[in-house]
Amino acid sequence: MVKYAFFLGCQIPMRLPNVEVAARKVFERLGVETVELLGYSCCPEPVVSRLIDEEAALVISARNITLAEDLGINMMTLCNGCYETLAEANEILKHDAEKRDKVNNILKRYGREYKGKIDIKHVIEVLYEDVGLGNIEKLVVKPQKIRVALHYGCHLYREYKSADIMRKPKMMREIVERTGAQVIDYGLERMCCGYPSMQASEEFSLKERLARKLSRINSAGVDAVVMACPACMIQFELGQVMLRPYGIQFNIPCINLMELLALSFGVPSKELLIELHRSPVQQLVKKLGV
Amino acid sequence: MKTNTAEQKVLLYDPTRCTGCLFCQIACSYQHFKEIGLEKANLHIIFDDKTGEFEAIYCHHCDEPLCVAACPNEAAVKDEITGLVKINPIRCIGCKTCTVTCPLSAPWFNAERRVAVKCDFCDGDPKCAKFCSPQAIRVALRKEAWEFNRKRYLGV
Repeated sequence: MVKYAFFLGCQIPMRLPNVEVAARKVFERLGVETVELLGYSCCPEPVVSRLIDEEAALVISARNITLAEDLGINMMTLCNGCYETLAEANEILKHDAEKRDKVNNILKRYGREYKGKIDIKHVIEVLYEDVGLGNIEKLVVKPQKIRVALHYGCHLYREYKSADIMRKPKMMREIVERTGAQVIDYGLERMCCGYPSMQASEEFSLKERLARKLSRINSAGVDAVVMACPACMIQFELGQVMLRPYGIQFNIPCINLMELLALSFGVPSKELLIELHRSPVQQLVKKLGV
Repeated sequence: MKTNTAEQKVLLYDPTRCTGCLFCQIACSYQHFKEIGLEKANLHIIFDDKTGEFEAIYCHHCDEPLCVAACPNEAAVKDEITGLVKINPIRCIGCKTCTVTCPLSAPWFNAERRVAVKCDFCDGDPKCAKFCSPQAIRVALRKEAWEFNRKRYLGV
């Protein structure tokens, strides 16, 4: 049985509990055992927190990693940002003895020590490498006969040891295809959703990033956008509402990869808290009759 | 010892990896101005709607920098040892000549400080490259950058 320490991060339990619900139902059916990481904190955020105080950011990440080390199992994240923060910290601390000593000196005060004994995996890697496409396909009882656009999210491209940056995005595409959905190319898959630039300029973020993507997605004639990252989900859903005062109107349903899997595994949509979506997912579900 | 041009570390941008997240600009702005913003950055990512491609405008720390040649007060200087081109804000008179002589307009005029500002390579650890998830902008040797850009722009 596949067993992972489950790092949920902040956005999913606080702002997108529907993603957590879907993920737990998917893991239950796939036989992925998730162990709760009691006492975890924010990962922290992958760029700004590290810019402001790299050492503090490393200590916070290291502390989270030690919680999984105590359990003696690898850690799995649902969020692209958490994945990059924790994988990056793990990479730095495993190879840089000087930084590791500094971090451990601080962790010592709290009775903890980073040992570098575990790996961090994104849920896409777990599904593709540990569960396998065949086992996913076996559980698909309600193939989702819909046309979908994919949005991978910037932090999913983070790779180490010069691996192909498309490694995880390709895995995600294959997983989505196994649910019966038809993936439609729209040409701007790699473009950022605009979530990071939202902190700098709302108008730029919405018009120059999100609206550009949505307009191409709209022309491609899809039923929904599927994504893996909670931050991108917030931008895609809330962003569509925030674009309205600028006179730009879109009405595209956005769902998380975990929700698409849960629906294809036959989980009834009323068990998935889809009413929490800010985009017209309820209409999509009605159309699908799930 | 004078730096060997081919072996000098420079920034190298690969548009086929860029997502346009602008974390490079945010990191640069915070590093130099302690501001989370897009304007006060020493590099800029632009998007061409026709080709659907990104392009980056950043300082290449030229061998024969036009900003240095044009500066009337020797504020822009190329360090012979590191090869980095920097603008000394104490010597800069804010004439903006460098901002127009640079073919990329890499130096820009900072209205608050009333001097020209440009990339200083973060003294060897460029934050733009450090925070780029897909490694679209990274630190490479100039000879790698020559080869990459020759292929990209000239196809040879």
